[in-house]
Amino acid sequence: MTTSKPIVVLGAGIAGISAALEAAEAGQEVVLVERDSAVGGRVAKLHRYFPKLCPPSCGLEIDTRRLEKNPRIRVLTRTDLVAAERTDTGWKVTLREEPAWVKPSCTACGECAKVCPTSVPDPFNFGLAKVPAIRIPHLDAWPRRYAMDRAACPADCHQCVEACPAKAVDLSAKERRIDLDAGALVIATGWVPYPLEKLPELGGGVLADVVSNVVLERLASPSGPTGGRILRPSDGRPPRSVVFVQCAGSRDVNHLPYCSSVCCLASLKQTLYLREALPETSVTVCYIDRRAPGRNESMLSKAESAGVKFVKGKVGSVTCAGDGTLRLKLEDQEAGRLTELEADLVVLATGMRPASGELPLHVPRDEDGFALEDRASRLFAAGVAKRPEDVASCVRDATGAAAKAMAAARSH
Amino acid sequence: MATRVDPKLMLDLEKFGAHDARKCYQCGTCTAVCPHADELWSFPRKPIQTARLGFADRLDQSLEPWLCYYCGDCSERCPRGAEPGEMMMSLRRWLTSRYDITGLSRLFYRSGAAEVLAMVLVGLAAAGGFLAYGLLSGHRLGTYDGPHAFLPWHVIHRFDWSMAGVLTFFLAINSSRMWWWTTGSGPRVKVPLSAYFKKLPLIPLQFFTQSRYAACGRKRSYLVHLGLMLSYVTLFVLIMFFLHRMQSGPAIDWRVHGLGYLAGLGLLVTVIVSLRGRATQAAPLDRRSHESDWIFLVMLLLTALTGFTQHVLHRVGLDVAANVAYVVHLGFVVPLLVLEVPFGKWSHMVYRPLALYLAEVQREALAVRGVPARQPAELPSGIRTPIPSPAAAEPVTAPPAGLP
Repeated sequence: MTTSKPIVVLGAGIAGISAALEAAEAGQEVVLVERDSAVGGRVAKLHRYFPKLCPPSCGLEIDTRRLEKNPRIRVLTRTDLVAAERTDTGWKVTLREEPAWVKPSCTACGECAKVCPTSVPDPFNFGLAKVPAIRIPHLDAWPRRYAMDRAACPADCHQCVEACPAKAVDLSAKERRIDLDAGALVIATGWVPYPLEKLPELGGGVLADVVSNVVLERLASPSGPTGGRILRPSDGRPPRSVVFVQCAGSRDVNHLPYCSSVCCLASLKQTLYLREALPETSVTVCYIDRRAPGRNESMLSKAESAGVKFVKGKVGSVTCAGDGTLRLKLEDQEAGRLTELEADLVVLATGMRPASGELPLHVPRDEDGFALEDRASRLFAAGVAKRPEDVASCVRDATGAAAKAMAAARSH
Repeated sequence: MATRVDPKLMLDLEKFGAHDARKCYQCGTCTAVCPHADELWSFPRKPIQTARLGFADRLDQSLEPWLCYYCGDCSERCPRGAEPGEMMMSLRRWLTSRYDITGLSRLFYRSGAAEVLAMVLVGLAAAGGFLAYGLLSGHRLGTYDGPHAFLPWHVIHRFDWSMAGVLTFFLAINSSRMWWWTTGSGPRVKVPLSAYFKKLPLIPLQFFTQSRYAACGRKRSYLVHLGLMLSYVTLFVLIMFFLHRMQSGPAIDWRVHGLGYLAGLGLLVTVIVSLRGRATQAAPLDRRSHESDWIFLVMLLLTALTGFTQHVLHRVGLDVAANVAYVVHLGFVVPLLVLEVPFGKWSHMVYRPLALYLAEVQREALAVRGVPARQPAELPSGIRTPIPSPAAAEPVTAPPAGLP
């Protein structure tokens, strides 16, 4: 086999993991770089994923086992890209690994978290709950190692160091610079949800009971802030009625001009688990078009037979009445008139924005900010960094990107 | 009832200023954010779709375009940049041309050049006619007022009233067509006579206060529009009923002249503010100016300026110049009135209050005839159930830790 330089995959979400695995399992050396302390990205934060409505942990668990046993993959978590320079045969990549406050010898026993005196908003749960400064990032985290929010630690606190039976906490750890000679780069930096704050007319960032679709995933997840009970953020009561606002910030020249392509199916999935978890709760979806492409069309009939109501019309405004009830104004186009719906909980089906903008290297992009591949520069993209798409498409896309990156890395 | 489909309706509407409506993807955001849409009168989306389907007859029957004041909230929120506010404006222009029996309105709205040419011709005819009258009557160009004035007030007065008669005739015909199509023929509901009487006070109310305009979020646009209208109405009353005291002197009659100057100033200021708004595209309604919008405002400006000038020149004793200015003034004001009032933008001073009135008449008729404005059965059930008070709510053992 020809020896080649490793390919570097930036981002260990579903696309990055898939690209790394496909390349490594085809014999390629791979370095998988992740900024967070665990892999899995956005998918790890989902309660269920469509179309089968299974929890994403099952898919991710298979992937992490493949990662674990493949000697050709080097996974670097808590690591940022500092610089990437084009060379004749690839890329000179400089990475910075955060100090290893918790060493790999951590057994995830949890003694440190028990004594930790500080709590911080949990980034995994979008700040909906608080967690100790030292904790396991989430229930299914891989690598299975505690992580520390060092900036939140009180001065001169050593309680976790003393509590750790494995002597795995090291407060004097230093950050590490890693220089790599890469044969190709794969950008798999994924996406960020369109900010709720940009939709104040829909109550986004203004009304507590107007939540985004990604937050609903956490509210529904057993590992979420409510232990999987779907409750209104304002008063902790289960909602009697939930209304979904589709295209919240997508297909809109004032926000994201493109269709984020997953929100319809994501909402359909959410309506299904909502009806299952709260059978008494009425669930309504307000939409412009119901987009369930390909074989996902059946999700629509599933939702309809589950008693989900659909109203054709985009919601124009969400306001809050004195008793905490939310009021949505929209034109019910089938009835042909302006109407007002009431709801206890409103879910804004916010779209996806590419997250690759933060990288310290020039990535060619399309007009919407999604990365374009550049074969000549041995620069490739996979997943939502490239276009808005669902998990299954990301995995397929990542396989293609892996093949292209391998071909590039092996051409001298 | 058969509906005739005109496949070229959108192409036609483009000539009236609707350029982006085809971008519409029927989300209804415009209707949901409109301060004037309600359960009975649902717009702009519905009329836009009616137009896109080519249902010209249905548009003839619609009052919705006249219920819009172009605050532009819809255009600002439209996710497609389809400019629903401009579409409503274009529909008003188009409807004006539909009501008009002469076809002139259609000609002028579709061609700014034709409108300007007509203005010039009518203006030259008016100015030339009055100049010829003055010269042939043997009166001196240096006499501005009194029975031997170059243009004696009673002559102008008679001319004004004849013109008002002709314009009223056209407006009455056009307005009755509007009434018949939208309300009289009963496309939506058969209207009992009592409803017409009951809602009658709405016409003067809306005409003079434009209180519905005030409901738009844009106070400045409302005040400018109201100021312009009140200034003009004041001048109109002064000219139609007190011309002999307007065209007098040399002493200033403050009750008439003072009011005239005040209204003239009001007209000048509001017209200049409106022109400036359109030039700088300040508000949403200023962003897409149609040729007819410019022609209207420029003619108003020239009319106001020349009207002012003739009076000032007379006050300072330059009567020859004052008479020349008077002739020029008539050369602007006559085409402005003759062409704009029945066939152009100005016709909305009748159509809009009438439409607001007819809309409420229909609402009243629906109520009287027991047709509910909304049928809750058609709406998704269950969502209207208010959540119970905390005491009645099913017990939640403890609010989730960490929830704010």
